[in-house]
Amino acid sequence: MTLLRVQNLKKHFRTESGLLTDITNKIRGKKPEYVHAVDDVSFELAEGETLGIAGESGCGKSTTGMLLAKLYEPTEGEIFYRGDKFSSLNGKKLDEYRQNVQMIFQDPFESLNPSMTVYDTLAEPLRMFNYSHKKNRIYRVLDFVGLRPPEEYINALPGELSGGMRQRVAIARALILDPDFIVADEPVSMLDVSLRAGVLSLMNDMTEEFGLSVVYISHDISLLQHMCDRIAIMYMGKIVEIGSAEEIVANPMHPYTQALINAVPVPDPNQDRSRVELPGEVGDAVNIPEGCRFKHRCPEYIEGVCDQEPALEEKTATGPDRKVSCHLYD
Amino acid sequence: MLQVNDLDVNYESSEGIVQAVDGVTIELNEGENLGIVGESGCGKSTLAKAILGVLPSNGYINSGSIEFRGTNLASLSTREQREYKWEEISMIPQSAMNALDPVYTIREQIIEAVDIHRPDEPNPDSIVDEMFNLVGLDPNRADQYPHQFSGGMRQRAMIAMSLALDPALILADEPTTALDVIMQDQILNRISSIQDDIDSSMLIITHDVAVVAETCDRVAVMYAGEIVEEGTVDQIFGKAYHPYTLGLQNAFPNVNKPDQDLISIPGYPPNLADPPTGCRFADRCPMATEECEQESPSLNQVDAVNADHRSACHHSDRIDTDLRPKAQQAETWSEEVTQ
Repeated sequence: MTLLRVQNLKKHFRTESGLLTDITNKIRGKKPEYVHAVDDVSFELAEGETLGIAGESGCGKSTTGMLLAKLYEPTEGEIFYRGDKFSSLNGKKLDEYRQNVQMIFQDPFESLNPSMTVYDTLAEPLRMFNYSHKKNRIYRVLDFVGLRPPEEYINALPGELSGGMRQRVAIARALILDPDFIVADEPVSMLDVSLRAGVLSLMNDMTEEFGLSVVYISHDISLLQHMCDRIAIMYMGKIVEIGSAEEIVANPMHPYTQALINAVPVPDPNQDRSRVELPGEVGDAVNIPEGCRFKHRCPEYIEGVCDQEPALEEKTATGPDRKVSCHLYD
Repeated sequence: MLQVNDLDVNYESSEGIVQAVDGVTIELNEGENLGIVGESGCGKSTLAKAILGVLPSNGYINSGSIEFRGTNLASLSTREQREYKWEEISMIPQSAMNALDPVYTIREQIIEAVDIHRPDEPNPDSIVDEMFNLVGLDPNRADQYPHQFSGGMRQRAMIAMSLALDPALILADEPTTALDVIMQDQILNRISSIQDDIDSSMLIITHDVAVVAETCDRVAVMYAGEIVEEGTVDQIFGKAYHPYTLGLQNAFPNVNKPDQDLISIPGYPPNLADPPTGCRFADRCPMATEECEQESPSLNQVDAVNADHRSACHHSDRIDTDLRPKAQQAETWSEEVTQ
């Protein structure tokens, strides 16, 4: 069953704002400028599915995550949660959504309140939604995230815990309201390599045990490949390719996906990987180019053709359940 | 070229004295790339800072020597050390964002470094242009300020600056960690082609096992202030001997191995203000015995054949038959140690 349906989602941010800017713009006859952080993104997420969103910094992947968690309001487009429109959620339904959707952030040093003990951190969401048997729930969830025995951790402040333990507390906080959907934005990129695997396998257990749908946001494709059923690749606010994790990594179709995967270093000195050097850098998200957004860097650029914007769709070569937005395929 | 002998670097902290680097010996030959791999707090950055003479005020070299082409850097005064910086040894820091001065243009900053070391240089501007071309930046942009550059461009500008005086040794501390993967790939590619041109050696300090596999000739693995294993990249990645190295490799995802299980090493590194008496990895090691708890192992040749492959483990003779074949199974590392 579809848990979440995202339709033509857009989020644009003003580059400058404020009364003074408005006035000077008016005098100069200048139109306000917008950063097109997320620009027409559509996908579906099934119940129990894990979707990875990959891309370079500034591609809009984190903004997409914030939109899914309803931490931003979209500029255009709609998200449907179990068939209900996001924009019309209010009152009880909105409360319900807030409980069912949780976020795990990148930096466990900043996402936990330094003056709240582990117990308080976990009790707060329970109090807000009037849960009873707080203590039981807290002990159970601490045990699940591997902070055992829980008695040893409940009175600790974040400052007394290591990065790995803190991220476990953040995961416990995300799980305490028994959600059905989690957005995890770079959940392990601040952790040391030897501890990462532990947090990742905990997140895998969490997905299975709680039957959760998860959107993982990361720049690290090798990691998403391990964690996700499907992967979406974003470039300048758009999804350029989406499909099963295995397929995307083994057989990338979009030239950008190919470059991204080729650039991942391999921990094997005898492996010679082919290098595609992309010219230039990610374009300007304010003045979006006409046509394909990747055309200035694309090694396969076809004059004339690529000046038309390609649609994200199934192609003859993609097979079902896979979409790519590139004129190379028909 | 660079010889670090039995180096101890300590920090004074509120918990007492922290031995961040403990008895480290490394050797770097002319034209060689050495990678130092380890996790946060293992002492790898402290080692780099000690070599460059830029330890923070609460850190000091307790004992040992750092010889660069025969001169002991540790015994030099700050003033004398400065002569070496940039000219002979230069550093590519992790964050170019903080390393560049925001109120000067990039050109002014590079020329300042050139002026100090080579006051007679007739045309420092041409050095800036040459370096910008080398790192793939448009020389016209040298007259801009750091904030007008993107992150990747700033890192390239930093590389241009560190190479401006043709240093014999480049110290790169996590040179690409702050960058996206495509930019990382381009910068690493650029560094190695420049290195071939100017024939310099490099010490790369990183937590990224894959970066080392691709750019270095030799690797030293650090754990809790000590070197636990060193060898050529082929030896370390093909046939590691130290349990920590084996564990680290399991924890690191490889994009070419979709079915690989990621396995973490149980437990945490020890507190260096109060390090254990025996092997520092013992309480996380699946092979540890009583001997490991009691006695600290020294860095020894792993076998009679490979003279340059050394590991600090009491059980090097058992690795072949015992741990290495089992290292990729999760049960081997699972333990009721909570993290």
